[in-house]
Amino acid sequence: MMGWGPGSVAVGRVLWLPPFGASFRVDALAIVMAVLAAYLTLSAGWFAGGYLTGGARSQGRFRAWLTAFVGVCLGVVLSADWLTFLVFWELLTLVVYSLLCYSDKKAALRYCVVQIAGAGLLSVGIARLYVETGSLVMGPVPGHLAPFFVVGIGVKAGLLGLHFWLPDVHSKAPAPVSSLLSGYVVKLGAYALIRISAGPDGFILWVGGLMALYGVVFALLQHDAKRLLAYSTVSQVGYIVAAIGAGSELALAAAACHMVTHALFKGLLFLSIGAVESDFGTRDLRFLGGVGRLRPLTFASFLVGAAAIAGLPGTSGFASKVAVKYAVEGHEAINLVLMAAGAGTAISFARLAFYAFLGDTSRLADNGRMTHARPPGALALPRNVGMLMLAAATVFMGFRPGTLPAFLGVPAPPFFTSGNVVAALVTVLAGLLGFAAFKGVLYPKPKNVPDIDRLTDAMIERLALVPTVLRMAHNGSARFYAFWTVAAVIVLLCVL
Amino acid sequence: MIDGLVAHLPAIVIILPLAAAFAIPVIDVVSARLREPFIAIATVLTSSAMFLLTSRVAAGPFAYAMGGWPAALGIVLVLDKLSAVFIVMIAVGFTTVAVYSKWSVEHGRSKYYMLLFLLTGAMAGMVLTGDLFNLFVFSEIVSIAAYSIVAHEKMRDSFEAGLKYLIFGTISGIFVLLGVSLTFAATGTLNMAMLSSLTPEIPDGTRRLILVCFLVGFGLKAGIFPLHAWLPDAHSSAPAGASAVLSGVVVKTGVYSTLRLMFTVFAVATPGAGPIFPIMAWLGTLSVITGHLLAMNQSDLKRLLAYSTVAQVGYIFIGLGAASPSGLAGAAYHAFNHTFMKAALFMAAGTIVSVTGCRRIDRLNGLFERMPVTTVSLALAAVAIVGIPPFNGFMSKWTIMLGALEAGQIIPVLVIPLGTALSAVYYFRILSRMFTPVPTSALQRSRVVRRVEAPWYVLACVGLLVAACVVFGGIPGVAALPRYLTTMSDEILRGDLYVRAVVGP
Repeated sequence: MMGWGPGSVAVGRVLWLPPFGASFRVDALAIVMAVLAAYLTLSAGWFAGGYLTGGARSQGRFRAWLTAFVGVCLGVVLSADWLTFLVFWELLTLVVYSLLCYSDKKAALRYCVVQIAGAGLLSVGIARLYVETGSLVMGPVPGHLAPFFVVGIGVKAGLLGLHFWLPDVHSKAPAPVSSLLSGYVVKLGAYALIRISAGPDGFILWVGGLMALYGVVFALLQHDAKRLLAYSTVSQVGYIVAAIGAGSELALAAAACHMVTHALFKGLLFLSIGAVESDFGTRDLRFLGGVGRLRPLTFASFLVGAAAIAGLPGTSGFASKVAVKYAVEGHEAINLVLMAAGAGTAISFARLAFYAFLGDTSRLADNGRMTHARPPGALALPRNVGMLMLAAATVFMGFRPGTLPAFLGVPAPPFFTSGNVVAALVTVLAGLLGFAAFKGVLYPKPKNVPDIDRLTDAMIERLALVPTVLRMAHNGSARFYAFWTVAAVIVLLCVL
Repeated sequence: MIDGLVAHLPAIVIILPLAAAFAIPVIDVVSARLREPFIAIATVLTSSAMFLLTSRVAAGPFAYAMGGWPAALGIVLVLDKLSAVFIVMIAVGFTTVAVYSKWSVEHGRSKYYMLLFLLTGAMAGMVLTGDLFNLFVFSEIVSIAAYSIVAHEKMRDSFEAGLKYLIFGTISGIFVLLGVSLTFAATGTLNMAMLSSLTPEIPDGTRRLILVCFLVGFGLKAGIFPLHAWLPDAHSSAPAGASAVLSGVVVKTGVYSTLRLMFTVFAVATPGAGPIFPIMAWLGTLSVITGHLLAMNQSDLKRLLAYSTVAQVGYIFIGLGAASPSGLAGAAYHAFNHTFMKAALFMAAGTIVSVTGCRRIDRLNGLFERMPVTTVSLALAAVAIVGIPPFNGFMSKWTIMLGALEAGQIIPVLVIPLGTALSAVYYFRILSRMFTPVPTSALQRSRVVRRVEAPWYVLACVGLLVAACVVFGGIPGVAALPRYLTTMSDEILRGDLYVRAVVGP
């Protein structure tokens, strides 16, 4: 549709409800997303083998859901019309809900309801699009319908303000599911944004820039390692959204590149923290320390992921961040914001490495976690396979940064120029120094920093009173109900 | 002989169940051993007559004059595409419930089946009759049978619910009767087809009064906000099978009557009709919101399902209120789908209640391990009713949305996805409980210790209904239903085909 890659290949329309058909399309972007889904799920599946407790039956069911996950994701990225897209989009919510139920039912329900509400808004947009234009082909949408689409999709992508569910759900999910959520599901939102992109859009550009900064500031303040990673996802999706807002063909390709690399390294980071959590029973930075010496392979995987997210040359993160930098060329303010966010990312991961993996094990011992530590044993092998898969891909894409742009059919920008490398190294160095300088401020504090989710929680609490009040009006007295009926008749007579 | 019978099918589908209803107690007195075979035969005959009748709809609407009297003098029965949809719903609801009740009803079987047959025959009469007074009579029979079947379990709750239903059913009857008499006084006829050309001449004030009478009368039967208060009590206290037929089919007869009167008889879709359609859309919108919100903090499984019915009828009214081709098609589609979804939900819930002896949602933990088939059926039906594509609930809501957009009503359109999200809250809460692997002590203490399922035919009933929920969501190739519904809404909006079938060209 963008003239990318080897050209669009339209594959069949299956007759569905007339006048609607399910139509599918394969193009370069769709192929990239499809392969990514399969690869990430495979690694998560391996990892789950050493992570999940519960018998073989529970494991088997989990794998079945993972398989369903891949299938539904393929449906999302390959569909060529909005109704087909919506079908898979909602089914995805259902599958993720079932996966989330393996750890936290409350978070699962929250995710499900929020996503169904978002998809509902999207469905209003799609219905209006159909009634007004008579077409359901995926592509840029008319301006007055864009809010429905952007907000509906944004709920899945965790756009600024619509991310209220994200830190909670991503941190409470089982680690392999977190890796899929942060690595892939959120990217599907970005993918849909690419599909509706109609050229440069200042609003989207700034939403992306602000997200990048907002996410990283909150990431710096977390004590829960997975919450930190979740906020860092908000920040990294900000990069992607900013590139989508820049809107040129090159920029969209850059967004796609960052989607892929972030999926790989954020998946890796979630898996490595998950491994730590499953061995030591905590992921709280206040209680961890010295894990690097006890679990060197996990530490190594973590380092690869952290280096990539900080944008160290030679990792995939460097390549895609450079691509995004080229994408937002000409928007100096955004470029500065993204650089600041990059430094912040470096600080937050230096902090995570320091409190979780470095130092001695005294804090673990103090809190009695050492005695409970689960020996990795036979569980380690499947887990390590999962992590190594992602680490290898991260390193490969770091050394061959031109592969992905070439596949997407855009000219690869020069990656390893001295300017880029120096800028990346300076950012990382600034991060390390920044952490050293502000170590006192950044010491993990026991409380979660209030975010917009406090606001939404409070709102939901107030709204929950409505059913209670309504229920009081249903007191079971027939006399009272009869009064309603009479009132209804009078009102109807008046208005008709 | 067979051809002769086929010609009389419209009368047969009404008379056969009514006759069976009166025969059952007599046979029970004569010989209790003959009762069960008789019920089985009558069930098979009734449902096959109904399906056979609907297969004749393709040729266009046709009228059947009772006793050979012409339309102006006698009573006509008319089968058009709209009534065929409702006949299918009645047939499906009746057949599955009749089979299901073989297991679920242990005491007072002859009374129960008598009421069920009475209900079925009267409902068939309501959707087939072409006469206004006849409609009133049949709707009263439906109500009387429904009150008694609600009170069938003879518990304190069910008596109270039955009494409440009786009070509001009577109020509804009064309004319908008032509407019928006003119509007769103003036009001098009660034949629907003839009325459709006379109603535009009724003075404006009288016409309004008549419309309000019918809207309130049949709105009460359909359980639309703010006339829904009796419904949760009645539908949750009835025996499981009766709940399925009440929620799945009986409330739809209210929907059918509203549709028939507003479109065919009063032809208010014509310009200058006044705000009746926006009002219906608003009533529907408020029903959706109230129904879902009230269902949210119910702890009783069946009561929750009953409140969900209020909300689902709201969606149907939004479609009616749109009064556009897609809106009507969507309304009929949703009514049709809701029969399958809600009947499956009530039957599955009834199975769970009678096997575990517990109606509280917070005690359902671990049910999946005990009753996998029932639990999965309930889960699929719940997902369908929430409106996750590609299940049928989504497709009909989507059609209603298109219809409301065609009519330019944006608020109902926004309320539909809101309702979806609200219903996700309470249905998914049930699902997470059922699939939680560890059973609570409450369930362990109950009679269930191992895997205990209902007999195969009960599972088959629920399973078939759930399978229909998947199929009617538009499995490729089953596109015939939406296409049928589109031609149906054209037929209703044009109106002349129906009239011509009755009074001739």
